[in-house]
Amino acid sequence: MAAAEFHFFPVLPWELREMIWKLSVRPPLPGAHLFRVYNDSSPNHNNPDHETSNSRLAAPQCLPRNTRFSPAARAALPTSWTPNNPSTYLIDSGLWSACKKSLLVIEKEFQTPARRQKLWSPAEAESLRRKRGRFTLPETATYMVSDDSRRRRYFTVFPDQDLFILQPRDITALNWNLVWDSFPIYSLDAGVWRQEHWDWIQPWGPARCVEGKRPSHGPGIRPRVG
Amino acid sequence: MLKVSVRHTALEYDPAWDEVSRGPVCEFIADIVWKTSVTGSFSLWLIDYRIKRNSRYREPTAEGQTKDGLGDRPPKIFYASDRRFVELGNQQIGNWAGHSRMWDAGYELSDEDPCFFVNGADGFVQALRDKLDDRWNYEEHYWYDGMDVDWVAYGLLACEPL
Repeated sequence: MAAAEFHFFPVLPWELREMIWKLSVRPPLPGAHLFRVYNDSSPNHNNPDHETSNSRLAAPQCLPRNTRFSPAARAALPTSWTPNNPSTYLIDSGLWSACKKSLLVIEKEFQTPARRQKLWSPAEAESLRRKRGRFTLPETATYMVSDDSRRRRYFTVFPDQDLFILQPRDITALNWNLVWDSFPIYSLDAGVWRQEHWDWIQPWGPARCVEGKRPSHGPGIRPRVG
Repeated sequence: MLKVSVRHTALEYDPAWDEVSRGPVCEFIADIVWKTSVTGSFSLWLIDYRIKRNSRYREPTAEGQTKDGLGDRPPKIFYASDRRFVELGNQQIGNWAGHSRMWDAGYELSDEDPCFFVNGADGFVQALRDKLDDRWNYEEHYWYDGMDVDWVAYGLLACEPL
């Protein structure tokens, strides 16, 4: 085989593609996720689950790496999900939407309940923890937000082990109800979607999480609700 | 069946809070404690981006071990894509030139005036802990007597590039 020969990814053997997709999944370590907190004062705000809070999580403002931090410098930056954003949720975000095969790999790696179609017993959860090295039970939840009217992004977090870094505009006015709503300490057994507690929004428009549904790639994959 | 989980939330430390004896920041500290102290298993971290590892630091020998730091427990570490956030233990941070502690605060503070309520990032965290102790000791303990509730924990994180 000539060294200069270029092989398109889709024609690589499935085993090789699977290996590449697996290497793209976040490592089994506690992650860190950044979100800006802002007040949704729009008249369209209408969420019965957040009667006491109209704060929302949104795209963060991130200084370039090795830049000296100051609140003023950060506040001058544009908000964006991608530039300079070191959040763990971006590492494997693309696997949810790249293609059907990448979706299968990330679902298998995270053992999502949507794929598994049943809850985890404590013994199964402990077995998985030892086998895969993850610190917490596979209670990953995936959230869908829209960059614009056509694109969507899927986030995966491990609420039991990850760090959520909040960037409120005025830290003295941070609405802690948002924190309690978004990060409830009481959860159902492992394997249950908890995304009903989350409500993502972009600066340029609201985007609700899709409760109990997994990313769809057309008629080839049927949504399976956990 | 319900289970209780730990939640880790962080705020980015503002250097303007380094030396505070009164005013909105002090009220803010009391407010944080008031709003977070009844939440159960909840950790609130402060991230001070100025803190760096001290190149002069040397691990103590077994004989020289003290009760400073985190004891036998490894530090909590959270990994982002190109950096990580590392827990700092008590007495592990130095804020004067020439110190030999594990972490360098990245700034110097005068220790001549002990009346500051907040004195640096670690002082801010300590103020949160003290305020929390006050609350449980003198105000609210009877509410939760006998209940199996884990309290909120406050801590300090440094940011290191990977």
